Amino acid sequence: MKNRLRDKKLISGVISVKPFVYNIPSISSVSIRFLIILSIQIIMLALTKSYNSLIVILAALLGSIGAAVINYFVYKEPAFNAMNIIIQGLFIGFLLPETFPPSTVFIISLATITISRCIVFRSINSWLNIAAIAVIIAWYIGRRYFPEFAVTSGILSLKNSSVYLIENGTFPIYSYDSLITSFLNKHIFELFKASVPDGFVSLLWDSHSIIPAFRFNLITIISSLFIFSDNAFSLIIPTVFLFVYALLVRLFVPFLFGGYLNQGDILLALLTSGILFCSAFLLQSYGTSPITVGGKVCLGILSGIVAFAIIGCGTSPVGMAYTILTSNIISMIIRVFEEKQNELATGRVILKYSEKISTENGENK
Amino acid sequence: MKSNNPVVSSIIKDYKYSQQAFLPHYVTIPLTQESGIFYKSLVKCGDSVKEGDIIAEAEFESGKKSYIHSSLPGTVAAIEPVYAPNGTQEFAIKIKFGGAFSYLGKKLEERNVSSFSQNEICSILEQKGVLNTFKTSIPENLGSQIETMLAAKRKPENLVVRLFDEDPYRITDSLLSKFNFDEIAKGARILAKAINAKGIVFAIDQKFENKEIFEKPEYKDIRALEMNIRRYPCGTPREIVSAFIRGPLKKVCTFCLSKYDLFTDSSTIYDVYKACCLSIPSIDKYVHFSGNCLNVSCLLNIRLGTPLRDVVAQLGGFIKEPAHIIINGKLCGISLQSLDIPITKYVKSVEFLSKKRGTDEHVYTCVNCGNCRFACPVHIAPDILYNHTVNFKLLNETFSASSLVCIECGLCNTVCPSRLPLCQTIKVLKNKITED
Repeated sequence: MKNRLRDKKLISGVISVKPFVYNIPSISSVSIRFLIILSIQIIMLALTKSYNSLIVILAALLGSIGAAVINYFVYKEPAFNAMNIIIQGLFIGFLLPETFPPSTVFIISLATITISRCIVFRSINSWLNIAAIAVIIAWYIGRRYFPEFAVTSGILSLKNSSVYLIENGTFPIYSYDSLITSFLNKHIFELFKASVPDGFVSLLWDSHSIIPAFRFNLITIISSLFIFSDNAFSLIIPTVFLFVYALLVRLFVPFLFGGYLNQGDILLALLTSGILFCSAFLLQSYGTSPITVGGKVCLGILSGIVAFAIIGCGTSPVGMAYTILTSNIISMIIRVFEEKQNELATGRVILKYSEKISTENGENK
Repeated sequence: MKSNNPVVSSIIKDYKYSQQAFLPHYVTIPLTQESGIFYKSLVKCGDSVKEGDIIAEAEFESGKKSYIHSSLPGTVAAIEPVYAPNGTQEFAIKIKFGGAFSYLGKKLEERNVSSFSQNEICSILEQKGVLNTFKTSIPENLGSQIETMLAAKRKPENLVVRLFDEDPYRITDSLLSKFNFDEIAKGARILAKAINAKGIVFAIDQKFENKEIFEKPEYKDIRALEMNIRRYPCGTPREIVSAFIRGPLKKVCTFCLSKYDLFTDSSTIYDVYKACCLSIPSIDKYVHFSGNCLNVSCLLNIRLGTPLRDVVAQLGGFIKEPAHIIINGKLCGISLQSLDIPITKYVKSVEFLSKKRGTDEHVYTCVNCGNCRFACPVHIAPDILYNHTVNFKLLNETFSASSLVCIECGLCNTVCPSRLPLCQTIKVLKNKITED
């Protein structure tokens, strides 16, 4: 092709307007990224032979595809919206337990997405997280299929409740766990004069929860790096949320159950309730986060407090779904204040501009 | 906002010289160069023209005239419609190259311009067709602009020369300042005389290579205003005035910048120097060529009307098939779809991009992320104005008037995940309100 000046591609290209460079990826790029990241989790489920989980995810996915088809015939929306709907379906599947009947999952997924997308919100810009709504509906329909809290008030008064649960066999330990733990203790944690007990590496890698979203914490952490690396979403809300939640757990959990202050088990709280998964993927979707930095910080703090109130120190089956919905409602309230602030700011801008114009007109006269 | 481009100062270090572009067989000179002024051809097919001959003229409201000059000696081959670099279709004079040059290759004596009066300088600028390309999207005839400014009640008091580009992805003015600083300083003094300026301010990059040059006694009349060009927007009058007022320069200067001053860029000032000191009309232009479809990036001194196709041949052809031709920068520029587009006076850079480098430009519905409001440097709400204009959402009249404040920097577009044409829509609304 060198030295040949062909411009066929130019002529057949789409006319585009400025700018030709962007600071953040488009919503379709983000959706594709989400699909890839969720596919990795699905592959992990297949590798760990969690076929029931895969069936539940497939049922939710089919339900969302059905909703996408209905949505297409009703509104003739572009393919991207279908992709967005499918992602919602996957999220529903990931947040439901593997014991849930697939037929019910299919109906919940189909009905929730169809109603919310075709009737209530009618666009990708939904104020409430559809996946969280579906999980709460599923909770009310089939509460018995969800796992119970693994921690009791007796355990919570202990300093390291996760160690108790690991030793108790609630969280299985892999054979390679002690090897990696000793390596980390020797070469990394030794520098900080600290050490971790056996079982945490297994918990980080796979918590063996019957809810797929709660399982592969390490993969979720690595995935979140890809999500937040290119400004697609702000890091403020998840960071503040995790910090506030972890701080509250650390300070108050044993104290509230008769223990001491500042003895809470942060790792148990972060690794067992899908906190990481939900804060990376669901806590802030488009349209459900405030605009200003102050608003985002405020949402992060309030969500952290809500999560602490609902989830406590972890192992909650639907606590994060409630937290997300509450966070969405808080975000709406913050947006109302922001809109008012924006109106005032615009008023000031217009006033300043009109003063400038009148000064100029006066000068010209 | 910080731009994602590598630091301009580090890129321009790699450029050691500019080059003369090959002479094309034909040049096609559009009959519109500055915005809103349409030239009338003074030649017809078959006429012979010399380099620098007047081939078209336009009359201003003041009765004065501006001209377009032939960039090559030769014969008028046709007067035909072409696509101009600003995306419009216009008539153009096509000249077939042939004959001796009047300026090129000749040693030209620098004229003594100290005796020139204000009016004489303005007339020269009009006659030589010098444009002010400070805003590349709205190029103005410099002579006419100065006359209008001098006729207004609030006259320009200072001259501001921007030695970097308004678009952070363009380096033409930075390179021109690097290679022709002396000429730019001379041109600035001439222009300062034309407006009887109290002061001359050169807006420079904080990392400008020859910063110490301003300490030399021969440049003591010129003040250097250092700006952080990694922040965008930073090349607008608003930002320059703000940087002057907030910076240390205000304390040492006896004058103060305002938006009523004359703002120009290094390309314009270099043309002023050529027109006044060397008596060369505006017939060539420094243009930066780059992009991942080319083997090389370079600054070429190119004849007006040269088709892009000829330049690409000089640069060794394409290494990838281009999908976008971006004129005047990726942030503020325009995308074109033909290699037959000629170089005009307002073209500063051309970038050839393959599709892989192209961005995801599909337009979706607004997701209310609010990024545009957060990014807007003048604190308006682009999403609300967009929904009002496109989706007919009811809006308070005073609120829609906020569109008048928009400086069209395009930042809202760069942070929109739905790829909405926010800046363009606000411009439409702005025009509508202005017309009403």
